[in-house]
Amino acid sequence: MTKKLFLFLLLFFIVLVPLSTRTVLAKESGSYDTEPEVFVGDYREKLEMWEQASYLDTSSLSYIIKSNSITGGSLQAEDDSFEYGEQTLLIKENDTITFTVDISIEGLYNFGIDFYSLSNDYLDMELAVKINGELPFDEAAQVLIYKYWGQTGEFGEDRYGNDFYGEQIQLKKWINQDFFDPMGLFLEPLVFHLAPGVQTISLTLVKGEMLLGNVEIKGREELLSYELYSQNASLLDDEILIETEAEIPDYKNAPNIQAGVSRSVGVTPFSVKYLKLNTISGTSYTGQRRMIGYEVNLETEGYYYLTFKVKQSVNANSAVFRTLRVNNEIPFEEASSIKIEYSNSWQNLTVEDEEGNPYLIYLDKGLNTISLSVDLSRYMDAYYEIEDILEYVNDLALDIKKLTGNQLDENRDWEIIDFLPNIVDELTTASLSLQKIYDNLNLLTDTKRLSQAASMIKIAIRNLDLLAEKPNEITKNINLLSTSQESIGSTLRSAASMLLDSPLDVDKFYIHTDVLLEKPNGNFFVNIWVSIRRFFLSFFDDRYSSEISDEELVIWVNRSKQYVDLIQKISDDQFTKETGIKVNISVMASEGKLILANSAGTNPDIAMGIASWLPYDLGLRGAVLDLSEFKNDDEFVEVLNNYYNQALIPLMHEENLYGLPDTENFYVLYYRHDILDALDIKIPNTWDEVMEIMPMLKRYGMNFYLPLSSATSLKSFDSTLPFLFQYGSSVYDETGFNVNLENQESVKGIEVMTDLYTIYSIDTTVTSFYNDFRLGLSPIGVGDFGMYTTLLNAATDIKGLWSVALLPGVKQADETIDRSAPGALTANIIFKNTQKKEEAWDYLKWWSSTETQVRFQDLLLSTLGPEYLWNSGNVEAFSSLNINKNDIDVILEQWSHLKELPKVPGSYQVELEISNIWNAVVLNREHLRVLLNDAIIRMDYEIQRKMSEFGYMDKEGNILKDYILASETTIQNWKEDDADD
Amino acid sequence: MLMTKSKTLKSKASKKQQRIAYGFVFPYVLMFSIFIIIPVIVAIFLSFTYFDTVRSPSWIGFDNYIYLFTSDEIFMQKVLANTLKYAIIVGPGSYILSFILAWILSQLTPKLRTVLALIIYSPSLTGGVTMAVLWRIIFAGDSSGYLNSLLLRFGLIVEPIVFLQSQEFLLLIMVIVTLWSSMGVGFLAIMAGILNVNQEMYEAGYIDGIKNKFQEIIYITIPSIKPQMLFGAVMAIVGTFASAGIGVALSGSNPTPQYAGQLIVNHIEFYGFNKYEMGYAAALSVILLIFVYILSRFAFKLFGSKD
Repeated sequence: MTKKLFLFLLLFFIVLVPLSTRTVLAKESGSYDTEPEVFVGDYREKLEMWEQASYLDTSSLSYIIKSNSITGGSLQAEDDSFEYGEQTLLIKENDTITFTVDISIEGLYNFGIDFYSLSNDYLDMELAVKINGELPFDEAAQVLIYKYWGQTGEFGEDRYGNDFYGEQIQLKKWINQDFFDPMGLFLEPLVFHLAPGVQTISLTLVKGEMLLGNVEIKGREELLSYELYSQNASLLDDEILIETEAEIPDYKNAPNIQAGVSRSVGVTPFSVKYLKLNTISGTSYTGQRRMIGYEVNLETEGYYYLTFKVKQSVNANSAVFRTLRVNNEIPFEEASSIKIEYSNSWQNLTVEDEEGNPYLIYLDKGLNTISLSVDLSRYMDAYYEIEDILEYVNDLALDIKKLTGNQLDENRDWEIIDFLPNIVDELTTASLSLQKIYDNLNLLTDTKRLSQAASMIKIAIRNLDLLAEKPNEITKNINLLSTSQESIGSTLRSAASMLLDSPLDVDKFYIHTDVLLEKPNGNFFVNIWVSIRRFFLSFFDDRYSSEISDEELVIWVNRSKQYVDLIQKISDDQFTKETGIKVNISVMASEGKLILANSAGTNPDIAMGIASWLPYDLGLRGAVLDLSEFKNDDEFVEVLNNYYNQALIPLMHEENLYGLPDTENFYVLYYRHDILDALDIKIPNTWDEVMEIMPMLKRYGMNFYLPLSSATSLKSFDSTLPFLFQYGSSVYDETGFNVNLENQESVKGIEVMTDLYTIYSIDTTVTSFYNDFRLGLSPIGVGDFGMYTTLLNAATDIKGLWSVALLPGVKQADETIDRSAPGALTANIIFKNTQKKEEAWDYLKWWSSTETQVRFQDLLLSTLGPEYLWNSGNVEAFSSLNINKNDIDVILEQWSHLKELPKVPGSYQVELEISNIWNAVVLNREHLRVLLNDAIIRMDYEIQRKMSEFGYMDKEGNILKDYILASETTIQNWKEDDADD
Repeated sequence: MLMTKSKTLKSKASKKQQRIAYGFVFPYVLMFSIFIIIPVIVAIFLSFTYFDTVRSPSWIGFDNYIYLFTSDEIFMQKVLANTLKYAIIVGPGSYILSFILAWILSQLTPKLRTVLALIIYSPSLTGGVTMAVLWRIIFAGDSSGYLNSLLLRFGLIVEPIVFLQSQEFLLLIMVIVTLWSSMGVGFLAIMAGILNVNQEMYEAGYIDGIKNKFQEIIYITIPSIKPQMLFGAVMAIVGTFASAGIGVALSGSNPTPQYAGQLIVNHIEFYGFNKYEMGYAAALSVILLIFVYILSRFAFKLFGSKD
């Protein structure tokens, strides 16, 4: 009996323990919300299965479900339904709605909905579809519902006469949309299998907010072939040529599909001198099902030809595809996948068959819509095949590492075949199927030259063959599998993401009958003439000659031109309009110039985006205006309330405030959940837990990244302070004349900082965390905001495989975890010698307000694209930034742990000495305490030398007046003073 | 009487000639004053002041120099030592190297010589600091660095060496990089000198009993190219002190870790731009100026013409 019980318990634990650790992991990381809880198999396999089952034709069937027969959500009266004409259903984020439908014939069906978007962010909405309580396939958990976007009016002009991006607005209207796969790989809408009888279907709105009209479930339909479509069709006899410019689509399904500048002759509108936004920029019109649509008015109905003037010059030697829709329908099968070949010049692409006979396309009298959307279906098979091989290669690499450990021994031989008997067959199969993909890819385009994706695949094939040839040397060539730039893993990952990239520039399109179209490119002599004129015009560029008038507020911004142009634009549009104060904003050559300009008296009124340590240094010496002068201004507190109190500390000298934060940085933990899951590693919450996972990581030759490992030899406060703060060190004593690093807490902090390297062997230098993270060499590590932007936009190969978590910290006596870290990045200052003190303050007030910051960050994203994330120091503005909800929650929580070190004169010496201690302990294995004692003498000496420079001490070391360390109390007092008034 | 007249006439003519000569020299003197003499005078003036670049300078007498020689422990312990080590190896090293290379090249056929000279000369064109990008990859501190990767592969080390942040290696690497890029104008001048030595001198030398190439160099080549040797020496000295940015470029921060590669110029920059003590930085520059001056005098002693 006891034996049985024991056995049962044992079994119980074996089954449950791994399960429970998994769920804990999922909860803590918070990253699994967007993924299905249980994997039910992907759509591709399901579809294949259903197609083989050959169900009855359902194409004529259609079930309309009215919103009042749906449970869940809240029913809106007809009057509140934005002219839908019926009652509608309001669905908020995470709401689930359920309805039943009585299916008469078992078969395959498509879903479609009418919706009216109520969410105002820039992200697509997401639906999860369940049939009888179950996900039919993985992709059904993430059905994307695209919002429609337009632009307000024409393009504006900047002060130099060049075109300026228009503002993107969401088109609030009723839209009918089918359910598609999230990757945009399938041409037709998602197909669902429905059994006969009453079916319960539930839809969960994972992201967004909408009004839902009717839901339609319709039988799967085949597209008409052109032959059938064009029966009895004939071209109109009249000579008709209707030209439509493409740069401002009437609707598009992503706000970041942008207009672009093409200076080629023949592109309209054209200007020799100015930059005209005259095309759809291909680099923004790419990827998953992105669509641009146009409305065209016609006088006669009938059959026309359609010609698009396009260029695909980004992806060398590969073809891209587009789906044509006329009045929201694909007119015939051949129009669903129109091929555009790679070319460096513009081409007139008439929609035609392979022999060059243009297709006849029927258009109505009156308003017609014509849209082009990205079609990736030709690359679907290649993509899935590559994904499968990638999975295999990653597993194999991990298996081998599990077998051999992280050993560098070149002289040890392994009989790998004994351990993995099928390895040669598997590698060969993979290589052969890649060869097939490679051949197919080359067939897709007319050119003989290799596309980038194809050449990547070629490298992978070569490496696979190499490994298959000498399977027993695979341990030595393990880098070829997954962890180097040329490895099979990273080449295939790049190839896969290249396949999904399909840029296309569009200048205009023609609806026409049998007429001669204009040539797409200007002739040779015109081109030469334009080039000559442009060359001479370049000597007279307004941008370098415009004089600054005395009335203008002069602002230097330490950012690139794109930012500066936008800041100028919204300042002109809003600030100048509201206050009448003219602003001239220009790019700062370098921060160093500020000091020199100040001593020469040619400094601006305001400097923005400068390093956050600069205001203190300049303020201490009296170059910068003390903003607490404005504390009697009613809005002063309002301005301060935009920031965490801690964010102001580095900008304060005693009780003066020398600047306002512009952007803030943050340090969070980045991790690859695919790798950590496979290794069963928990996300560490404390440094002790980091130490615990280190042996495990090291065993697989992996590394934990800390900013301390960066290739820069000065370990800045940003990388050292978290340890000191978290272990309870205050760095300076309360007078500010001495450091306070001899105590237990400080020593412990520095010790942990060095132990992680000396005992737990974190790599001392990492050239690029980003690369190591992508390659899986450092599957976990601490990174900042820059890392986030890069991962989000550049690391397409590991999209969806990584998440962020809070910075590891130190467990306190009360079980909370101290995760303090600094984050000051850039600041804005007003110079003391400005003649326009009040105006400058008004400008900073306006700039730092939540309203302006939100507007600016939205403007950046909508005009320049998703790479331009703005990490505003304004907390409220940042929290409305349009990035992944989970990520922003983590970042905001980490941000609430912000802690900054008050500044004292000579603090650079403290930063430097701590960095040197770390260096000497980690690299030379010197003794920490001895180093620290010497360093403290030097730090105190330097601080006191600087203190006497600024009159706090005399030469003999007697304190002349107290130094007040910047503290939150001062900020609190400002705030309360105001409350008293 | 007649003699005196002719003398005055002569002197008048020569005065006119002199004036013309001054006219020709004037643009150079003007430029030289504006860009060299005045800044040097200003620097000497500033070295006696406290100047933080924001407020106007205030006179403090010899305080900066007193601090320099009595209290700046980093300068005395590290900076001076590093600078001397660096200068002694790189100065003569690059000088001897340029002579040897120039001599070897002069023995080759003209076409090959031109190509090789260009190759050897080009690193000094790009400048050590810009090329630091390349060297940083070679000496990168993780296993992706070329050198580390090679050493690891041959089993000479177990874990990568952090070359550019380590006290032991940084100065050595700075020396290597500087030597690599030091074949500049001095090298070209010496080569031009060697090529222009009258061939008849060698023939005469052999008749007089010279037995080998080495004697040829000692007794004929070097004495014949003294002016070029002087030029090369001065360029080497100045170049050595001016190329100081390399340590900062390699390690990625000023000051270099544990002051391992800290040279006077880095020290000047650190005080001037990080600590905002331009007065003290000026004092350091004056010391550096004296340094360079003494060494150039030494070079003049060696190679300068006696008359």
